[in-house]
Amino acid sequence: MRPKIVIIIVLAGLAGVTGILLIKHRGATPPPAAPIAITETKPAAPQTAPAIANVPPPAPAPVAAAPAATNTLTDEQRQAAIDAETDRLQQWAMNDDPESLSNILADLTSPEKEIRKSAIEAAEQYGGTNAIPILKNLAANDEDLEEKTALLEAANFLSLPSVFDIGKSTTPADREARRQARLQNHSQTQNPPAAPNN
Amino acid sequence: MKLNQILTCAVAAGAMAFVSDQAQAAGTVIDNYLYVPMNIKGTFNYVAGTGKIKQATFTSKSIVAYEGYPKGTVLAIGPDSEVYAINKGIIIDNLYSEGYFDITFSEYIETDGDVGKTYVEADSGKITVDFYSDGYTTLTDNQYVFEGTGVYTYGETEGADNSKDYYHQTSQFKSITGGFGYDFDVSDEELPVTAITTGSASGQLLD
Repeated sequence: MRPKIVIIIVLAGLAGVTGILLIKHRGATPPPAAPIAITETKPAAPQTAPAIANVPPPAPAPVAAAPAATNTLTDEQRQAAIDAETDRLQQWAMNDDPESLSNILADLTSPEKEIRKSAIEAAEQYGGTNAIPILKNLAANDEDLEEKTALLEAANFLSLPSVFDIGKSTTPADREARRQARLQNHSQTQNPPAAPNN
Repeated sequence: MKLNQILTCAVAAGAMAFVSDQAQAAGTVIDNYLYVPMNIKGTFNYVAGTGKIKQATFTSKSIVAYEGYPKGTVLAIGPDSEVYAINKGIIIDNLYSEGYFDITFSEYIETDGDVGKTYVEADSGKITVDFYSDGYTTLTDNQYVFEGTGVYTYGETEGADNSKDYYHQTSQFKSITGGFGYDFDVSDEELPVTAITTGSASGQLLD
């Protein structure tokens, strides 16, 4: 085999492997790239990304490496990549750092519908209001009715206060007093005073 | 190095990349059991003024924060449907034992069998999801409470064993529940509560 042909084949092989490595290890180097190739309709990218304070901008969706992966990944490998990304989303959702939110927001435009769905759930878990404009913007450009609804519901969910935050105008001492009153009421309910004996 | 050797190395490098990530994805496997991370999100309805009913939310993450677990802690359903707090792959608490969470699955319908080399199971039934923020058995002794009942669906697949007797399992579930709760910061009355709980996980288990 001629050296030129050998070099071309080797370079092609390395390009494929590099593509896989870039896709599979996105979690280690935020902001992430889109994990897997586009195989279904994805929502149109928002025309203008709303400015968000203290959050790194999400990475642009699909990169050039994705088409190489399309031809490389088997169904099992593709599903494994989706599962791995879902696991990462689960972890990012429980963090509080801006990079985690940025990773979550980037996955909202993943070519994979399963990942986009998990990203919406992760955004809800992450909390805060920073994701709201992006969720609304994506919903406005999404033709998938189910996903559009999920995006808007997530935006609405994030706009609500937390149960653990409302009604905190009272002091801890007030709340403890109310708790003691409840305990008192409870003990009286359990041991009602004896009825007068006529 | 010959061409065949070079290409073999390239393929091996790619394979190692996948193995590495599958190991990361299997972070929810502890003692050969697949713990399924649990995303719960719900709302309380409460009276916010004359003619005004508003909503307030809770999530797995806000519960983790309230209970004082370290940042990054995940709630997951483990053996016997008990809820665990897991941080960096280590179980740090059993919320069922603490009295915080009680989840009960009552299976009504089930289907399972082999599809090719993959075992597939799906079932559905009634679920109860109860949360007591401070672990007291008397509801009103807790600051926050919700008790909900609804319907769940659960799906599981198990692949064939590999040469080392490991198989790949995926599990996922979803439930929608409704019921009542207490938030004594806003009211001493029972409040209507709805919640959606989802979970999915995959990992390599030893047969």
